Amino acid sequence: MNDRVATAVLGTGSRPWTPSTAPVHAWLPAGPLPWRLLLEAGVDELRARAGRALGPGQALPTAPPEHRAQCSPELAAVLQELLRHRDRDLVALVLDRLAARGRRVPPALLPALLRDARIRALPNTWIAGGERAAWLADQRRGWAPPGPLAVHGDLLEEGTPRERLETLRQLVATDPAAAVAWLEPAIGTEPAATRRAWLALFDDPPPAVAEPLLVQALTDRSRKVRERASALLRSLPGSELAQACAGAGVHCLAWQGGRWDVVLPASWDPDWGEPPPGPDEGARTRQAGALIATVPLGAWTAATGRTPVETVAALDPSDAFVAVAWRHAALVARDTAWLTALMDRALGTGETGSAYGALIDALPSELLALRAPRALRVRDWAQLLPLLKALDRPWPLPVARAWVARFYELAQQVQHGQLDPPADALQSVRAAALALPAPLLVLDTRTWVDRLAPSRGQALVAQALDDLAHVLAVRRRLEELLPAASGEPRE
Amino acid sequence: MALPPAQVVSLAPNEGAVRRAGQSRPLHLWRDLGRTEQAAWGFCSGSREYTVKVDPAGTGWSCSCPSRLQPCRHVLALLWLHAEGAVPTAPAPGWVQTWLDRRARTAAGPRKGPVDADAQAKRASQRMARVQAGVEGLEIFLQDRVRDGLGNLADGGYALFEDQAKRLVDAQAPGLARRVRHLAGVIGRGEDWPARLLAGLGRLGLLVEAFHSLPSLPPPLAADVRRAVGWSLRREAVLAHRDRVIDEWQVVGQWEDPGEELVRTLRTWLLGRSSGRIALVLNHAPGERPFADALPAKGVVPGELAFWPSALARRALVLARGPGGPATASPGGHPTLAAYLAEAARRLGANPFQREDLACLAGVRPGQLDGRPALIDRAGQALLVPIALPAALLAVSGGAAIDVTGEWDGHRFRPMGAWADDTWTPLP
Repeated sequence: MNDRVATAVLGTGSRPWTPSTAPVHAWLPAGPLPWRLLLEAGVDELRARAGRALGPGQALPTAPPEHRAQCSPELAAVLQELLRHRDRDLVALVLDRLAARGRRVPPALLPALLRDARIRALPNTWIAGGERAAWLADQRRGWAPPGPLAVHGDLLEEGTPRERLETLRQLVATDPAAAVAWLEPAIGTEPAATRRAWLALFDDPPPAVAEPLLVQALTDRSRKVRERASALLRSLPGSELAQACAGAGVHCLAWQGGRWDVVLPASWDPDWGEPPPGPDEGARTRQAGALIATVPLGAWTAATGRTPVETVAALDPSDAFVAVAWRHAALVARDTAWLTALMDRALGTGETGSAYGALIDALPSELLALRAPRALRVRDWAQLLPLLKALDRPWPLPVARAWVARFYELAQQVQHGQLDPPADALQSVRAAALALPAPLLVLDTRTWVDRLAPSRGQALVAQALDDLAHVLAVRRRLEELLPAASGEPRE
Repeated sequence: MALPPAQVVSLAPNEGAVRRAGQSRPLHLWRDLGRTEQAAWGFCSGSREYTVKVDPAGTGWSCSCPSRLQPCRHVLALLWLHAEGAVPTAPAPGWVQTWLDRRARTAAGPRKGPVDADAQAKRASQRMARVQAGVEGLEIFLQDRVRDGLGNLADGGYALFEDQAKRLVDAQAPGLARRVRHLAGVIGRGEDWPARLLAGLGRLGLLVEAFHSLPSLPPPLAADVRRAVGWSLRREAVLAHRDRVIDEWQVVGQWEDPGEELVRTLRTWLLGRSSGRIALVLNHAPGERPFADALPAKGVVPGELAFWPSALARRALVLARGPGGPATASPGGHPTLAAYLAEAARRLGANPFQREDLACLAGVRPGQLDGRPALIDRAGQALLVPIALPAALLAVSGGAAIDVTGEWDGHRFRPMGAWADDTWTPLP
């Protein structure tokens, strides 16, 4: 701080100060001391601005050369509008096409794209973004691509609770043994909620190396932590706890006369860990379900001598908890035959909800696509919507045709005033607009808006219709500007 | 001339208006649509039926809906339909012709009457007296701050400055009021705030001295001092100055200053392709209203500008403009930062009271200076930018040398646009 600033901070009333005699200040008018000080400061500020000194800087490294051609300005304009409106479904559609056709996003659009990709994973961002996207992600924290990342050890020790959780999540995904090694001494010093959240990182399903950590947590001072550890150990095939439960679980179902009889356990054995949490009502059923879920699925087909489809079909509709237990076991084991059988059951019973969603997530799209046409003929829109959304785009023709037929049925009911289109049906219209193969897009969809127009008075319908018109317009424009290559599956 | 759909979107006061305009766009919601060269019109069904008329160029509109935001959804939807060619030609009905006649009368300006020179001189003299009183008050205020010590401003200093700014507004010296408010924002911000505040107060002191010396200043510099204090010029006065330039004007920067007291300002910097003249065009808009007659954010606009009298003429108004087109060449710029700073010093010498200057820098790369974001020239010298390098600048440069334009305030460079890969990218 120079003398003049020091005087100004304290005040000329408190600190003595002598005006400058430098030639540059000589022309300044005489006046009271504070005024003279101010004018000198003003002159020096002007001089500083006029004689600003530069310092040596360090330039960033340059981005690697691109290997993909930039997309056309017309398609870039379309993408820019979509990014501006944060229409991620359509952005993903454009990215897929760019990736398939060896094109890339113009650099000017990358910031908006990477911001969006950070909020929701957009497949093909890093392919269609080209080398520049990867380079840009290197320059800005938070724009890095998802996936295995180098775990920042300091964050585990010194990060915020959220940073520690995220770092652990990455470590569990990339090196579960290292995660367990770090957690075993550290977990005991954390609050119960943190201990539970950390254990939950092994939920999908737990790796074998996590067993000692989970066994350690069976004696945790918090009941909720013990419950979480018990549930995880029961999901870990081969763990001692799972084996003990499976030994009991196999007796919970008896195969008699071509049907399953449920035999509820008389009481909960402490060797099975903490019982599954929940209200007293239905506790025994819940406990039986937890035991049944630990039994290897092959045990049930061995008992019946039938296929998984037949084994599941033999279950009484009222014993839904058994289907839930089998689903849990099938998800852990990633057993496609059982998952398919359970999916058929779920479609047959009109099931919806998160468990149904987990089943859809676990099954490959082609298996779902085989089931979709029949479901489209008979099921509710609430059940159809998650199924349709999970299908790969573009939809196979049988699915597309079944959807169009169902849509016309709906439109007819709307036109005759028999029905207001349900929200799930309207959402499925958007899903279809995104996924119908191009020929159907041209032939069948131009009149959709008119067909649902009688319900336009409802805000929801009006909004869905505007959205639909927008999606269709963008898809048609995309087909014009960058059609699918001849070698690709033709839309 | 019809606006392209992208420019219709840019007229919207916010994103919600664009979405709602999309809802009002389907043709079955409209009846009696028609258009001529000068207007497009129609009746749109909403919660009731609204009468909508627009100038196809987007410079005027009218709608009977009660929307607070302008242009409303119906106006945007009609412009959109017009841009898509969905509005048929038709003779203008009487209610549209009435509107067009009224617009023509407004554009022609107020009716000329005899000028009362005495009354004018009296008003000017009254204003000068009020401003002089305000400036004297400011001088006392500045001296008091230095006498009492800037350190005492850490508590309650902002309110003190705000009161002074209000007094200057009452004294019809809004330019000085703005500078005082700006300095209030320096108090307590950053470790070196007393030094920065003193520097700003010092410049304000020099402006006060310059105001006291107005009669002895060269006329162009006197005009700069008057404008810095807060005198504005009427359009006729700017025209009378006769500094008018016809050129292809390349937009080299545009940003919106949220401003004070609910009036936003759009600052558009232009560079004459042939004349090399630099121009700053300001548009003002209250609240969330769009800027009337705003220039596009990029491209080249042919037209005639009239410059304010000044020792360093920058501020200009648009007298006439033709249809714009894309920029096909870089605006170019100084080859090194040192060359630009030498030019900036010359400009500062011409008008010491200008706050920001346009800087066109050729061949600069993104980088760092002492860990802070900066632009690096080919000689390896660095110029700091505030806070962070704009993401779009990083993206279009990819670390390579590009041409960048921005505002230089004597301390930091605020990037406004970049030329890379034969394309101009405005930097938000």
